[in-house]
Amino acid sequence: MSTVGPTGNVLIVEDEPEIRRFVHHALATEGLQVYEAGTLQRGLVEAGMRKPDLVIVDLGLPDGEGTDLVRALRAWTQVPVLVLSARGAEAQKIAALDAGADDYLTKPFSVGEMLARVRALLRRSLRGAGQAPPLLVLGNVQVDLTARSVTKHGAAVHLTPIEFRLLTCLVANAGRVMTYQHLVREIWGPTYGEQTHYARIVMQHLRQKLEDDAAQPRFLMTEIGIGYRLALP
Amino acid sequence: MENPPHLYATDAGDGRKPHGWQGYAWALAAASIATLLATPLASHLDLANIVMLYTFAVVVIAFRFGKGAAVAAAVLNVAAFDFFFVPPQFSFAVADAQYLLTLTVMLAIGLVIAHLAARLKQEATAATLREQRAHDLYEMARLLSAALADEQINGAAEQFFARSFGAKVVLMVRDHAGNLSIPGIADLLTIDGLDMAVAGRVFEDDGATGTVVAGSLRYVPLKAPMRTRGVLLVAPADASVFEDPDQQRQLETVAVLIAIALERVHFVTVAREATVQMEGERLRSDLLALLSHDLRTPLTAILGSAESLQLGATHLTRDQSALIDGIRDQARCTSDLVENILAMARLESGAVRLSREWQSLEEIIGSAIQARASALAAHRVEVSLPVDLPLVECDATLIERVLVNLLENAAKYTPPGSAIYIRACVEGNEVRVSVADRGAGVPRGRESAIFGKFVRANKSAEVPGLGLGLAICRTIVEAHSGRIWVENLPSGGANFAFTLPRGNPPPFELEPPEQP
Repeated sequence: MSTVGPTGNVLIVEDEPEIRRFVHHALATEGLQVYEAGTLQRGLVEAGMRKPDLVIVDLGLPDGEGTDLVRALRAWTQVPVLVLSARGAEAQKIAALDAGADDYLTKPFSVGEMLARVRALLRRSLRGAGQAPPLLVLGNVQVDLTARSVTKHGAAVHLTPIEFRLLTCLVANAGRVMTYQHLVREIWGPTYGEQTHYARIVMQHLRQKLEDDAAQPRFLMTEIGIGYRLALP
Repeated sequence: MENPPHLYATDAGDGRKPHGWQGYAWALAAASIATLLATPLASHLDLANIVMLYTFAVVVIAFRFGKGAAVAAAVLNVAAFDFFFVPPQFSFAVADAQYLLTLTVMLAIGLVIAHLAARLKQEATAATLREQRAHDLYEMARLLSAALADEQINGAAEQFFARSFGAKVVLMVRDHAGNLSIPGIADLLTIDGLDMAVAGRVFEDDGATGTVVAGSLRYVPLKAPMRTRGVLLVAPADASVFEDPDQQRQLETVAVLIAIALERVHFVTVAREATVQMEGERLRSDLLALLSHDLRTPLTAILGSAESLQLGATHLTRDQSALIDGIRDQARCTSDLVENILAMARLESGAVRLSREWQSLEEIIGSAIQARASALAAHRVEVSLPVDLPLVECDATLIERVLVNLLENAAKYTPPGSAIYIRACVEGNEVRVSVADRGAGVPRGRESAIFGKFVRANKSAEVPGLGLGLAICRTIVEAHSGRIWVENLPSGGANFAFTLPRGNPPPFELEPPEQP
């Protein structure tokens, strides 16, 4: 069952002991070494001491915003960060993602979902963040970034340059949640940050070309109100 | 003969005789008593001293009964002195001419005394009146400054005008909507000739016209520093009461006092309402935050703990595993209920601000289906959207919630294996989205009722729910200026549809400004 191996170290920063306990238990059954912290300050100390391969951060900590912890971590490490937040706190999630968090889970979350995200983030961190694989297979779609070619069922798919750039951006950050603002800034430039509908229009075209059912995508996933994520199979 | 003794009689009014004919009777009596007293003394005293006795009687009558009686007493005394004491006795004839001077001076003194005494008395009365009125004014000012409600101001005004002017008043106040309040039927019946049109005009003019006199009635604008607070209708029993400039001034002063009191009460009310509302909103948002945290945290822990328990656990019996499934399912169900209650409370408290952006409906629909993938596992969901469906300006998380609730309902109330169809189209200025199922449909006649709070079409025990889902949908759609409804399809099943305004999508540059 364990796909990661027993070498992974995970730090969980969460003030509710009951939530810490079950997350700890679930991660431990995956063969991971788990460290716990109940406050932001303790979390920073543990992160420095344990050098974890993944940090799970609750956004509402008693001694500060989880977003501040993410920012502090990003000052010296690229360790993947998964944040936990309450429903309806979209602005908080976007702030955490902009601060450098990789993914988020909304409470209450299913343990299976959490483990899937943890695995994806650990795989990504082992592979080396930001390093896009030259050849990516997404179901019946193949993306070859070096050759700038995309095929579906073996047949070439024509993508406009902007569609290709959006796809490249998502592939390079596969598994991560990319906010609309981030994508638009990346593709159109910093002055376009508020024109988030640009990303939605291009994504619509991209899905129509690559997905079997654009309304029920299998890998070009929507994180509603937040952005997009390329789900790896 | 004379007016009854009113406190509100004018200061200038003279000849008042509080005792009427009694004064004249007493004048006659005084002359008689003086004569009777003087008769036994006549042999011992000079006539000059008897004159003193008569003069004294005039003074007494003058101070006691006023001018008329004093004049009568003076004349009667002169006549009595002449008749009974001036020789020849028992005749009005005068033998010695010097007594003519005595009689003339005696009459003159009597008349002067009568005049002075009467004036003194009149001034004393006027002073008493002024003092009384000042006291009434003071009393009213005290009542007005203590007033905390319009009714108390009305009471103070009624009391003052009844006492000081013998007048009835009707207080018409600016109501919450800014209109002049209509007086009660009792006031309308007791006051003749009350014309609400005149009152309305005085009010509308914002006091520019000042007091309007119509017949015996006066419509006094109640002008406060900020705005006209209402109209005071004064109906005096005696219309001449306000002819005196002094009285008019007093009326205006009183009107200003009342207006200021009304304004003060108005702002006190406004301040109190604002405080109550603020407190209420703070309490509600505190409560919501507390509930959100204190309900979600244990539910997250229960749900997560139940799921973790099954991870890698090989020693569980089938029964134990089923029990854990039960904990997990119930926790998830409770969590959904809590989310719905919190969502409804947030929407109703006005704490939710729509964060509208140009969204792709395809994306929102896809996200909603994904969010309820486990609930929809037993159903087939078919989505058909036109390729050129425009972007819609909406709050994506809220519209997703609408779709999630509709999908959840469809999954709950239709048999497993049946299909759910999601469609969207542009219709005029609107974009319409519909979720159709193959279930039993909505009970006839309940089509709009089921969008109410805590209303469930099918109150069966095996389908859990509070009946909030559709109410939330309606609140969200209406916040977007859209409509939501349900109809039963001829082919069977229910078709839930909602609209969103189409708007004008912003421009889009397909290619970035420069290529990399």
